[in-house]
Amino acid sequence: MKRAIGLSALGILLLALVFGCSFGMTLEERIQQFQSDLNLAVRTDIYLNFHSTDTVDYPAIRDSDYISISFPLTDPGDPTTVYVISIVDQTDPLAVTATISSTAMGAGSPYDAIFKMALEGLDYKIVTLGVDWNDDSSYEVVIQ
Amino acid sequence: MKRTLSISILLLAAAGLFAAPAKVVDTDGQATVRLASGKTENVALGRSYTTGDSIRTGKNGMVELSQAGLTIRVGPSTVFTLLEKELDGKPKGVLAVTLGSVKMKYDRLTGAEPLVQSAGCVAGVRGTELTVWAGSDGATRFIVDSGLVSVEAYGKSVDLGPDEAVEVLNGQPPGDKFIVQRGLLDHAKWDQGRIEALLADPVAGVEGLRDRLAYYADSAAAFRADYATFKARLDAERLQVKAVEKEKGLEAAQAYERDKVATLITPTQNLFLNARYFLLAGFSMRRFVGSRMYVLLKNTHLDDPENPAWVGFLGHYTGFLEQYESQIAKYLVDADF
Repeated sequence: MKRAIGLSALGILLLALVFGCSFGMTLEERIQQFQSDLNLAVRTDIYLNFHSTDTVDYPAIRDSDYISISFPLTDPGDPTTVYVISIVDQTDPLAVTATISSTAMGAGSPYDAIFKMALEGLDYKIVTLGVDWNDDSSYEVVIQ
Repeated sequence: MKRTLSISILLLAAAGLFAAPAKVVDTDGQATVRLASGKTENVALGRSYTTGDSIRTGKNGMVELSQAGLTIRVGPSTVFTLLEKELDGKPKGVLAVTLGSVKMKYDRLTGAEPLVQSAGCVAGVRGTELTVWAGSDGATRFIVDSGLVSVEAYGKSVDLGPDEAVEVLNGQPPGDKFIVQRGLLDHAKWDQGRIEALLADPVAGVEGLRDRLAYYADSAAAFRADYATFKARLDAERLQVKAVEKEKGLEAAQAYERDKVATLITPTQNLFLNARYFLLAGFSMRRFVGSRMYVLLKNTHLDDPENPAWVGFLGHYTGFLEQYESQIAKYLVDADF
């Protein structure tokens, strides 16, 4: 019986490896999800990309209007307003550097950004997000 | 009640700049935590909780938390929430005791001690050991073991020294301070007295709640109005960036943006967080104090539904609910519930 269970577990693991299954959301997938949510007209679930215990303002950001202060909604008639997040360096989950481009944010696009990420269960979540508004390598924390 | 709030003096934000997690070092009996995510689970030894997390204990429940030089003992039948505000531009932890009994002991004083908030008042702590009781009618009693505590409500402040206590009834300023008799401290007995006071005059109890709810609603409305002004300015400046770019080129637009847009983002966010803080405080009061008051009185008058005290209470309670719905709930989002 033990052997059968062991073989089954091994089989599942091999299948997962062969078919590229993951057991949670990776850091990159989380940032992609955040990007997708930024491009929605209704952002009611965008707060779910953030860490429910480590993001200090989590109760406040459940109202998506907060996120729209820094990241205004896209304009369906203007494709340059679509948000695109490109990861630059993700070796350290506590300081993932990226660029965020969207003319909805302003003329400084693309902006440098820094994500602090942490695992919540099996999924990576965003803990804080900083944006370099002034292009001077100083990140202003916009969500924490 | 309308009031004009100056942003400069009332930048009382829920912006938690420095969340201090509180670690569970002891727990006994029934104790659950409603995490800021909305998920409820049992309190776990060794687990840390942070801003927005709310601990509830059962009749025999107890939780002891350790938070940066502070030990917090959450007694039975208690609702206790970790919050943060920004006060005068500086982050400030807030320990909210909505119901029940919480004892706080400081190992050391750093000058950054959290505020203590109950349904009816706020206390600044300059002491090392104090107990807070929050009653079923929304009343609060502060008991100082050592150090100094300043209790403020409705513009009146009372300073307490060692072995002194003060009671704050909901909707009223703090009463006169008095000397505590150590051997006679009994939260359950005190709360029974509060329940009896509520049963004797339920209208006064619910009116106190309405006053406090009005304070939360007025504060939220004032911050929402300021937020709307700042947000409109921010949107206008963002449009202006585009106009400058068209007229003077990208570099000029970027310079304008740095000067006019970037500087508006943080103040706008803070105003939004302030409004949310007061809305969520009103929500918590409705959920934990108002509902409990209603159930208590309904059960008491089950056999006597025409009782004038119950009928009078119901009329005012309906007003409380209408006030909550129109001034608090309509500004909350689905994820808050």
